[in-house]
Amino acid sequence: MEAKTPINKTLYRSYRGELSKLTFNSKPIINDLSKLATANVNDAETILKAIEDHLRFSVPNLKLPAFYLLDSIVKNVGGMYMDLLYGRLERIFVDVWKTVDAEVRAKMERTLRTWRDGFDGGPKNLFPEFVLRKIEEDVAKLKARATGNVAVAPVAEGGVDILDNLTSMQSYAKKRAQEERKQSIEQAASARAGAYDAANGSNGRPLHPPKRQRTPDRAQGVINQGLLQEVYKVIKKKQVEMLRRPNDIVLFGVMSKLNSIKDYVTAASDLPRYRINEIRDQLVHLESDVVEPPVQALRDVSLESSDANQLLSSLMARPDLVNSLAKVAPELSTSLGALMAPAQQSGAELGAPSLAELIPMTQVSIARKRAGMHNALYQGGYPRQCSQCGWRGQDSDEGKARMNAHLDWHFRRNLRTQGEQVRKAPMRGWYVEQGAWEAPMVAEAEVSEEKVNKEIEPMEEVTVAATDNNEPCAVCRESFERKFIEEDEAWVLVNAMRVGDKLYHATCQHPVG
Amino acid sequence: MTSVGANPKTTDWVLGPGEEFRFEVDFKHTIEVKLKHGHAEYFGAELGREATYSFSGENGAVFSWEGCTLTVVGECQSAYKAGETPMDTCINVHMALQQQRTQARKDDSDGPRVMIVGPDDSGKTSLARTLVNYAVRMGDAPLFVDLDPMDASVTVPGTLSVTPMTKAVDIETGFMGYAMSSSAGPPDTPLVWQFGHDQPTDNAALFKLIVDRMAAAIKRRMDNDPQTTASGLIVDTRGFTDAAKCETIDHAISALGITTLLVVGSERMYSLLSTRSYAKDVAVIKMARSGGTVDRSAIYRQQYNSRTIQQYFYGTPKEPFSSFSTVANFQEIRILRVGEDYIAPSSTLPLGESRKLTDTSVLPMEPDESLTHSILAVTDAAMESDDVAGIQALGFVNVTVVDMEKKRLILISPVPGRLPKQVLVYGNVKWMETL
Repeated sequence: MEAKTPINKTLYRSYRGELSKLTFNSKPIINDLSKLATANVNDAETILKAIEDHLRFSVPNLKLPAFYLLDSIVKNVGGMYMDLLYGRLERIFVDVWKTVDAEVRAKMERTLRTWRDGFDGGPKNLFPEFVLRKIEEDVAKLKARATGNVAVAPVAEGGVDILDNLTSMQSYAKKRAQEERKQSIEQAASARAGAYDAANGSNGRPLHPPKRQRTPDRAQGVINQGLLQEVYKVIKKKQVEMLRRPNDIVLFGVMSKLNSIKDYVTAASDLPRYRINEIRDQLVHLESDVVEPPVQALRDVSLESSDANQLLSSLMARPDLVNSLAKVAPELSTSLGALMAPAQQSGAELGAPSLAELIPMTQVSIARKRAGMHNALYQGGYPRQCSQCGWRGQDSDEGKARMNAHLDWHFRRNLRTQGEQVRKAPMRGWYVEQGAWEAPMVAEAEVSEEKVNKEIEPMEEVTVAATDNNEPCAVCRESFERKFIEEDEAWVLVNAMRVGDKLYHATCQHPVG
Repeated sequence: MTSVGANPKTTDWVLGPGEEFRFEVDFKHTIEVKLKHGHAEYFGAELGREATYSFSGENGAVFSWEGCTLTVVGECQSAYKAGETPMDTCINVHMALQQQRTQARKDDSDGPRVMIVGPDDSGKTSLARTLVNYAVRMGDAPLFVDLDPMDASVTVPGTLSVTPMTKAVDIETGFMGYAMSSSAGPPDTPLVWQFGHDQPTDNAALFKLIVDRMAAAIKRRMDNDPQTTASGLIVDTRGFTDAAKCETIDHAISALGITTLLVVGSERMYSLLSTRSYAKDVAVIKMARSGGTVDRSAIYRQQYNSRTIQQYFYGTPKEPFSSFSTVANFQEIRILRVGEDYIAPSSTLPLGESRKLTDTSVLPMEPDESLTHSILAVTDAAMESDDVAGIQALGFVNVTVVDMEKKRLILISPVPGRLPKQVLVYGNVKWMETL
């Protein structure tokens, strides 16, 4: 089971404390806070939550510095933060945007653009295109609405600051807090289920998300409709989970990702196929993102082992529990049933590479037909499948991580090969040198990946320190462009290389003659 | 469908459990294959539900363990469904290897090292590809050793190579496309040597020298990389039937520490190899040749190899690469060849003298027009060094023009600018870019 602590309360409080120092756009403070974020990357969720809450609950003129902190984390820390931000960026951005004045809005939009185009040669496409585009669309819509009315007045916000919650929660005895939560879950369950059904149209099939019900988009393709239904299915499932674990911050993140996907699908009229596939894979992924069973409901099942199969078996052995579960969470119990089915069919060991039967490498043994053995390569061993290429992963945390990395790769590759601007093809490069091949290191991997991904650009990076005389290129006899590099405080010649005592344009590519 | 006319032919193929769809498409046509229902694999790599695969100039087979429906668009030279495949033995071999890998990981010992031998066109590379893919699908990362210089799979022909396999071999572009999609995870670039001949026996001494160097490189890699150690080797070889040609194979078996020898499609070779002295340490297993193998004509091979070189420089339509024109002056490069093709016949030597040249001797070549269209290996050797015979190739350049007047070569190179190293090794392979 994933042992992800939802929120580190001590860290949350101390980071919120640090954030309160961020009263103006101070680079040093932002740097310090970014460093703190780097140091606590394992608690990325907590840090982000703190920033999010700070953004939400601080007065408007404190929001821009905090937003710049977020930008700094995006650009300088990345990693886990990007994964977590991906799904909630839109909400954070739009919520802040709504509450600030026009000047700050413009600054935010400029920052947004740098996430796509890169800043000062920095990395580009920090977020998937659809996430950024969605934000732009939201902003455009808000602006359009504003021109209809008088102005988009900054909106006052509501909600409860988690910091207050935390403080007050401390005063409760733990047991009592749990009892209360249990009660509120039950209340919330009926309330939310009712609200959701009401929003779902009369035929019981979700057609449009509640917020957009009044503007049904009739041009929507059949595929989008199908996809939307898939999204709703997952949302519904997660809502049920959420009722059981309302404080699970991971689940909360999943939910907000799902919501942004839902909004995106609803708004998009014509999605390209690969994007649909990306979304679909994302969905499959989010669906299984929280593998913890509803702990509260299972509390009275005595569990000796943490093994997932045993857990399921002991659950399935309690029909009373399953039935009561079915009442509250029909999807959940069905999916539990589905999980059980293959496990019973295929036998316990089939998934593992070590098969129950030893297969010696002998002529007789190799010639024997063993029915069903292929299953270990398919559903039996690796039930998660990427629809884009057929790659399969195990149903474990590691398998999940690998699938995530795999989908990321597809995403980057699609971006590269099917991106909107036709880019120049990358180069193959030389093969790695034998020494590096023999001792592969992670660092090398990153360098090489960069090399593969790097577009072929005019060789602007090739520079030579400027000379006093205006010596031209020894090949084309044209003079060099000069540029001042601030970091080095020196003038350089752009696209130049020195061979021996002569200068050449790197693009002239003529070696010494 | 109502409109016919220009629409390409669309056929649904329904495969039962254990059946495969075999096709031959020439270089002029392209077919598209899509999985409609069920699960299927192409030489061990599973087809994606949403993906469409196109093939041109390819003999292929889509196999299904439990049955599936495929939609095929386009004209095949031949297309049929087959029920008899060697897949049951193939998966047995894989599972046996996989158990050895698991055991090796447990004991911290060496994983299985399997070599595939057999006559020409018996399906050796297809079997190697399937075994690589099965291993990768189970999370292993074997090294793929290509000892078939004539139909090199990973890079240009005339080479020997070893490649770490951490992902499935691409369905459409095969081993050649492997290095292209390397942006997922660590780089899987191959370690490559210029051999320069079609057959290992064309220069057995050089072949053995390279295999020895390769074995040493593999050993060092495995010392640094326990994952690879347990995953082992999968070795593909040049086809042969002649017992006399076994010599290079025998050497490779001992140099690479082969533990399992798979003999495909030849009872005769099987019986021959299982009486070898190493047979007591090596599991020699015979495997049936797949009914799907096709005898490749010389013309087909030529076209196939030409495309391989094309892909080295320019990638594939889905993953294109840029190549660059560059200039190398005669005086700043050295072009060498290893071994000598034009040795004076023994009869012209004084009585009692034998040839002094060894087959791994290095000879300089004066550049002339005959170099035009050659593929030259850019080696990692130092300018003054004559020790280039077993030195890795960093890549390849294609000579487009030999300018005798200005004393320079115009080259196509995978990297812009000056060559990183100046020692080039000639390899008897010619290629001309066709548009």
